[in-house]
Amino acid sequence: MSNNTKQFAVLAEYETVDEILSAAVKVRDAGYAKWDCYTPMPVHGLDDAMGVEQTRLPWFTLCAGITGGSLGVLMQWWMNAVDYPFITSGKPDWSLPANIPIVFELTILFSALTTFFAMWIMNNLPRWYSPLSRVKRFARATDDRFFLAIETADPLFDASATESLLRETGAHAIESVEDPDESPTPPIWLKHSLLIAGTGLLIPLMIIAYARFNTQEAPRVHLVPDMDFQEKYKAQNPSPLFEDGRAARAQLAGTFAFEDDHLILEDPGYYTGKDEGGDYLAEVPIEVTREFLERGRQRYAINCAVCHGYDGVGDGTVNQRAQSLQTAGWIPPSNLHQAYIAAQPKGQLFESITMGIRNMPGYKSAITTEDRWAIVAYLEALQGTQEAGARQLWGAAPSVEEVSPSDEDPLVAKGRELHTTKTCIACHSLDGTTLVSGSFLGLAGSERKLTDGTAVVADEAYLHESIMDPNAKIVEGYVPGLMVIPPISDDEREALVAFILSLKQ
Amino acid sequence: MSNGEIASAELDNIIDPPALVQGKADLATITETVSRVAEHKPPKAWYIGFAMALGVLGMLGMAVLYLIATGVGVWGNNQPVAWGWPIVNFVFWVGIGHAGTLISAVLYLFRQGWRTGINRFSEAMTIFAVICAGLFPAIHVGRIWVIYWVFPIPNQMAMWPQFRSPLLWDVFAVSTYFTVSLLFWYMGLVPDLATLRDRSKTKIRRLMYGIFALGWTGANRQWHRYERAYLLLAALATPLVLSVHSVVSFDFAVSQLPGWHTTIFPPYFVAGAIFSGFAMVVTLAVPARALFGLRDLITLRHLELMNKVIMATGMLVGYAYAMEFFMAWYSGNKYEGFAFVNRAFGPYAWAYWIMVTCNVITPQIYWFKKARRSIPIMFVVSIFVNIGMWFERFVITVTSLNRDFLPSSWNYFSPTVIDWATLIGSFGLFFTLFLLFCRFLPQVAIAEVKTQTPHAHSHSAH
Ligand code: HEC
Repeated sequence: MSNNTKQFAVLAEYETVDEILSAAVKVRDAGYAKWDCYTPMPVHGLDDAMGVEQTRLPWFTLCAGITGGSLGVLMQWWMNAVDYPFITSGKPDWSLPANIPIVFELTILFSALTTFFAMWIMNNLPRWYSPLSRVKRFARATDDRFFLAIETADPLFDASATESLLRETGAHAIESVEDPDESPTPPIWLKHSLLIAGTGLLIPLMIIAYARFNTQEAPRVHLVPDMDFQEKYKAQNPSPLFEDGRAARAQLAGTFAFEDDHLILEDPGYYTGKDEGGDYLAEVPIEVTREFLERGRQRYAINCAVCHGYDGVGDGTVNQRAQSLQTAGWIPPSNLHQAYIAAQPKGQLFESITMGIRNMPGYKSAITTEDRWAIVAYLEALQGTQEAGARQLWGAAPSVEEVSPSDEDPLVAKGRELHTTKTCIACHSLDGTTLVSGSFLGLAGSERKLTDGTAVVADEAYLHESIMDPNAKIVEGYVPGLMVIPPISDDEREALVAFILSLKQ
Repeated sequence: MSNGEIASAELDNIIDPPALVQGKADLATITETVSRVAEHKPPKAWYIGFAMALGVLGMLGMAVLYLIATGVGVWGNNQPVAWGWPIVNFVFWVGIGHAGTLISAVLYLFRQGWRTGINRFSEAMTIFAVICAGLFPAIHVGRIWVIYWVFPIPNQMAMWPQFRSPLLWDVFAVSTYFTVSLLFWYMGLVPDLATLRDRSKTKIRRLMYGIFALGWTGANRQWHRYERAYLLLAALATPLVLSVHSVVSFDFAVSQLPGWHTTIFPPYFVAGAIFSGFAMVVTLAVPARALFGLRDLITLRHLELMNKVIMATGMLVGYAYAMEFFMAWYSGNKYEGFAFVNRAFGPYAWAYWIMVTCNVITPQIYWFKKARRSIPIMFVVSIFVNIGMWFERFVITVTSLNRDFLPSSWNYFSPTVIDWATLIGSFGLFFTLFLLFCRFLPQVAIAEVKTQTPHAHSHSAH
């Protein structure tokens, strides 16, 4: 610090609010511009007395508020509706009401931050040093005294005239404020530590920027491992989870993959529905009592009714829901009263439930063996309530469509039989009604429109191909991949095709 | 502090004898009374209190560290009560954090001169309470190292937060509230820090206070913008303070849970927040004014006015309790009905009745002026209210959750040792900060109190 000083201002001290107010009026009227009053608290009326103009601060606040609010809207719209849309139970991607709280908070945040910082900037603060602080008595400006200072920089400033003006205002003391040529600056250590801290703060940003624009071969740094490193089995490596290092565990002695599997060999009929010779059991291999039927009814209601309906016609709630959604490719649960199902030996029904059938899953693991038989027994009773089942149950004559005409070609007759036993009938009717898929009546020789826009005639070759590879040609309005075919030998296919051709119209 | 302050001072004279500043209240005395506390060695009680607070804070640190290292399983939270104590504590602290800004901003706009005695104090309390509050959701997320996901910061997953979630509204509301309260508080402090700077005897004090006083000299052209900014901040903080607890209540109200899904929540929560905040101010002010010799600045009249607010908001809260029951019955919704009957007579009936006793019944004593002005009574009542308000949040959170939609998952919530350590520990954090504040910063807004004295006003006609 040099010792050369020059005058910065004249300072006058007052003791009361009234004194400073009247002094301010006098200095204002004298036309000074670079002067100010210093008070320990805001003094009412001093702004008028000094002629201070209204600050423009509120305009900054307003602009900041508008900016904050608009940014809030834009940000949420872009982030949630455009860049990364959130799909929330069918609600619109962009719905303003739910975004209002954050718009509101951002409006306030921007306004408040701007008000705060703009006020300090407009006030020329923070400042390290004020020449006034060199005057000892000025310390009381923040305590109980009132001061008025006129700066030498003011065009009207004149050492003696200004001083006598202040004297006239009734100042209790008047002092000249000196300012050294070089004003004091923050200590070196403070500057340096701020500099170091500031640069230190930049380091993480620089690392992020570096990582952002570079590729690296080393694996990423895991500050927190989360669950990225779990012990697990990897191909061609010993498993760390077991002492013997094996990943696939051998079946423990005395355990079985499924409940009754170990008994299959002892009593294949009971556990698979097929006897040793591979033929379906005709009847339920358990004595059917009232309780047993009741059990079956209950199990059917629990496990089957959701799809097949309580009455068995295939219109359970799952089906109703799927129909109302118009799900493409939905395979409706079979109507269990169809003649071909009613005619099935009990062992076959049991097998359908146990292993599943085509699109229906198996219930081997969900329903015990005995209960599965109970359901089969109940199914017979249920089917007995409808025509086809009743005919089966009471030994009445089969309905017309099931009987082949006596003069039928044996190959066609075999095909007719296979149409039922291979369960084609589940989807393809013979009387022109549409079940899951189109009817076989009049199919042969008709023109089929395909999804690729071409058309083919359903000739013999087409029928063969459709049975062997159902997805080779897809007819318009149908979904590929739905048709599940049981194993069919070449001879059987010949018979089926002959049968379908015989239904030509 | 233009017209308004004088108008209110005059009004005060009409309604009540002025007792906002007592004793020989010239400007120098006010400066001296407040600054003395920060300049001299504090009383022994301060050291004892600080040591205790630090100890409890250490416990919090260990509990949180253990939690982070282990996972949220160390708390009692589990299905169906997945929101246990952490959320209860969060709402409790945020609620307390409302009084400060309310006193400084809302009462400022309503030109209530009496706020000057207690505003600094309660603003500090607000900030510390919001710090405690912010801790809980932060550690509740489990993987606290990815907490930045709650902010819209670009990340390697190319994902953005869900802005339609009340939990995210919370993030914005609470962090905005903290920021604005801090600005407001700090801005108010600057002139007083300048006072301390100008009074400081040692170089280090001068430097420290000097840096934070930003070079304030009390120039009137600066006061002019300062006052304007203060008014603007008050005007901004007022809707903000109302929004914060409304948003907190949305965390509950926007869900579909019986007992939470009610439109009464926002006003009910705001009333509760003011209630608990004022109670906390009384709890802190009573010992502080005795300990630090501030009786002349935080006068009995201040305390009495606060007790009136406590009684009024206590009745608002009581009304909300009753209204909830009425709506549960009137809506004819049997699940809502069940939730409320279960609240009052179910497994948590004890908590419910603690809440009603503390929040609705105890403040009724303030109908008597004697009680409103009795230091021991108000201290005890304020503690009761604090307890009651904690239980209110407990009741809302836990009773609604513990009876889930699936009766098979109904369960009784019990806190663990870590739950306890975190709750008690949060008081350690709060009091550590608060005691530091009492020790080093002006506890009363020196410049603002001065405006309330006759010395601040011109006596010639104007
Ligand atoms: C998830 C729905 C669903 C459930 C549950 C269900 N099924 Fe099925 N079921 C089906 C569908 C779909 C079909 C037709 C499958 C196809 O044609 O690809 C079907 C077919 C059948 C058939 C006809 C078999 C054939 O030879 O054509 C029988 C019999 C049957 N189900 C019995 C049952 C029984 C008994 C139960 C209860 C244990 C049951 N289903 C449960 C969906 C279901």
